[in-house]
Amino acid sequence: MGVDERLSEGLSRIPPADPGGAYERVVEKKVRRRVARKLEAAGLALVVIAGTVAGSFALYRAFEGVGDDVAAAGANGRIAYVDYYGSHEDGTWSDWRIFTMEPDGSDVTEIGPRGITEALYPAWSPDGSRIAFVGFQGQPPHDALYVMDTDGTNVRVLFPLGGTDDQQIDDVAWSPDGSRIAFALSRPVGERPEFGPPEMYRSTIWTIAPDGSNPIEITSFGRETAMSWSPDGTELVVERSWMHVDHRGDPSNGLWIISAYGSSEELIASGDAFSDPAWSPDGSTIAYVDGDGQIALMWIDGSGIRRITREENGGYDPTWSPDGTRIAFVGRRLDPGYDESVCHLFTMRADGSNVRSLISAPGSEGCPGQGGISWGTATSPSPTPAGPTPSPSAPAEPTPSEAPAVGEDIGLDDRVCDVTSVRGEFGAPDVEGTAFVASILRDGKCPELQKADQVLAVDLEGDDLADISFDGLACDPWCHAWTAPDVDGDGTDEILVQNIQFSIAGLHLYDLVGEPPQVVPVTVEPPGVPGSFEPDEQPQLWYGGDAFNADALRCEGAGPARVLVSSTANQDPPESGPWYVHETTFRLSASVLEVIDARDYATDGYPFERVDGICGARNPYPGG
Amino acid sequence: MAIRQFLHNAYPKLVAGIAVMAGSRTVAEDAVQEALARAWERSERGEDIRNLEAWVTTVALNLARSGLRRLRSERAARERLRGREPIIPLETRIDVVRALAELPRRQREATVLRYYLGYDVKEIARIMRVREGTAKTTLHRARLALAERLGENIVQEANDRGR
Repeated sequence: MGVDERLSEGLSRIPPADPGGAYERVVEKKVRRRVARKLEAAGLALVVIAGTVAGSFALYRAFEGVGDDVAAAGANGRIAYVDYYGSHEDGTWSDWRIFTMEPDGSDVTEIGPRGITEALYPAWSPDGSRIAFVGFQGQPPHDALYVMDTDGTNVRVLFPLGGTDDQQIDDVAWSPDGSRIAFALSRPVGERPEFGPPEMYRSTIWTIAPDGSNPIEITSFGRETAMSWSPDGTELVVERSWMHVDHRGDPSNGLWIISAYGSSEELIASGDAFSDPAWSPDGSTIAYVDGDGQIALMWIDGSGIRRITREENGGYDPTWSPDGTRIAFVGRRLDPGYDESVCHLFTMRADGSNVRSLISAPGSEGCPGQGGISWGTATSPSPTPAGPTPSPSAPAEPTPSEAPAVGEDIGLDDRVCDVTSVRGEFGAPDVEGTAFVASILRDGKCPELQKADQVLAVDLEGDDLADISFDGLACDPWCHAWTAPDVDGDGTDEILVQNIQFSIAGLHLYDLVGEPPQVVPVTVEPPGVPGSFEPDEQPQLWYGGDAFNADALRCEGAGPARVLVSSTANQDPPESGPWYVHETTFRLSASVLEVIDARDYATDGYPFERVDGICGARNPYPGG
Repeated sequence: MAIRQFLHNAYPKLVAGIAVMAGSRTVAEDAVQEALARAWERSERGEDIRNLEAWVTTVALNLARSGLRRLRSERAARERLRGREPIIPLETRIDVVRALAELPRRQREATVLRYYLGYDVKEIARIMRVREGTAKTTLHRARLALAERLGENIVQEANDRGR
């Protein structure tokens, strides 16, 4: 037998792999990649989705029902919002009208619509062709659910409420597959007093087909006032409010996840401090307004709560961008030199950084966005403005006459895109800055992430503009800013950058040294651990994993005695066997990690505990 | 759907082949599944992957290389704790596979691509991201080395064919 035949014959005896279960694993990996990217874009951590109870639950929920129908996040198109129009020409009415604008605040266009006295709660259809809204209209004026084309024409009533202003619709959301429109309907209960408004209302969530057929009341408790669809359209997160003082403090108040047909419900966050929920496009996270009127995030199991706004007067109506990287919201700021606060419709990165005002108005006239924001995928302005188009309030930067700039300016010579960031005290204790990982624009365009030149840039002073940068990131296939721990306990933070590989993440540690400070990759002091932590090389600290392989990174001790412990564990046989753990302990000193201990052990239970943050990082990612 | 067809037709052999190249079926499964997830993602973005099998093979091979680094420390820990030799996988009981395991990585990959997965030299060059000449040389060296390990009687033939 010749060499070719011998090789072919020998290799043909290799048993093929069993494809059983592989499809589910591919789906899981695909969703995990999407979730990871979105989480990272949002400044959250991949690690939470692997190896922690809450994380596994969040991931399960994110995966639930997905397969061939995995929802893909859309591109960020125009933002529809409600703004104060002012008085009619005869000075008799104060109108709320629907406007749309580009995501940078340019090209403000009034949609109206004509003939509707007040228009509130706009909700884009997923294909960007129509807008559902609540109109206040008629004689006497009363609420109804409407749908219109995006130029304000072709207005049709979907759900009329009859000629009384006792009933009202408080929120509208179009399902991701376009088949249903959800709305919160409030009606009085009990006898109406002779004068004044009814004392008690009952508010429930309804859904209806976009042609006005088949309305269904999907909740029954009676205090459901706001809702947001899951990206796969099978569930909604619903706010159950106290509504009446008698129900304040009721443990059933809070955020519930209910099925789209109301057949199941689950309380994920109990209390009065949860309102305006918005389900992220990646399915992992819910943005909401907390008890102090600040915008916060939680995982969809209610864990990992993190406040992300710091506006002096808070924010409300958080609304995710279709790609999940930014959140639009309404907030107020004190106008410098005046006592009056100014209302803004802001957008920010999903980690709360990079807050930008798109449009503003004096607080006394009502806030742009108050009464509803919806971020759609439509990219072109409405073809036919519905009438005169006075800008209802002065657009903020950039001005409408400027062409939308490509990429972001984070203080580097080049503009960047795909920006992820993490806050930390990098230059000096108590001076909070931002570490960015971003792609450099190429020929004025944002390159594909896998092929991009990524840079690590650090803002030391807290002005959101980078003071130093490092372009030698080892990214395969791409990196994200991850967290900012103080590993060496010297009072300033180092930077951990995440390099996503498989379902786990490789973390690279960077330090700031010298004066002026420079970013340097942390390397392993010889002799290291050949094969795992090579001497003089930048170590890859793994974190995450699958069901039976897990990696963890944790910090022990404080101050100069602080050490970093990198562990890898494997359960064998899967599901029933013990966990075999290998731990390596490092000390960081002068940008070098010294291996000070290595040990192996076996344990029957899952070997890692959930720890929020690493080395007391002040930006504790949920479950990280 | 293409993914399901791929899993049925190409996946079993590709995983087995990459397992031989990487020395770990766990790493191979993970790498091929991950590559498929990436291919799926790309197709949803409208990208056209003309030859799914070659694309997945290329990506999975790269992923398997980096996945090995992580597996190494896990294995070391497990074996030290058990105090015994790891279970020898079925593949390494096949003499050709055992001989392959002793080859340099590139030679091992080229051999499996050629003799197990059935790619021609041009495709091997594309998958390994080397020039055709390099692929040929690599294959020739692999044949020589394997012939030596598998029996002297086929060394001459290997030399002859390599010319």
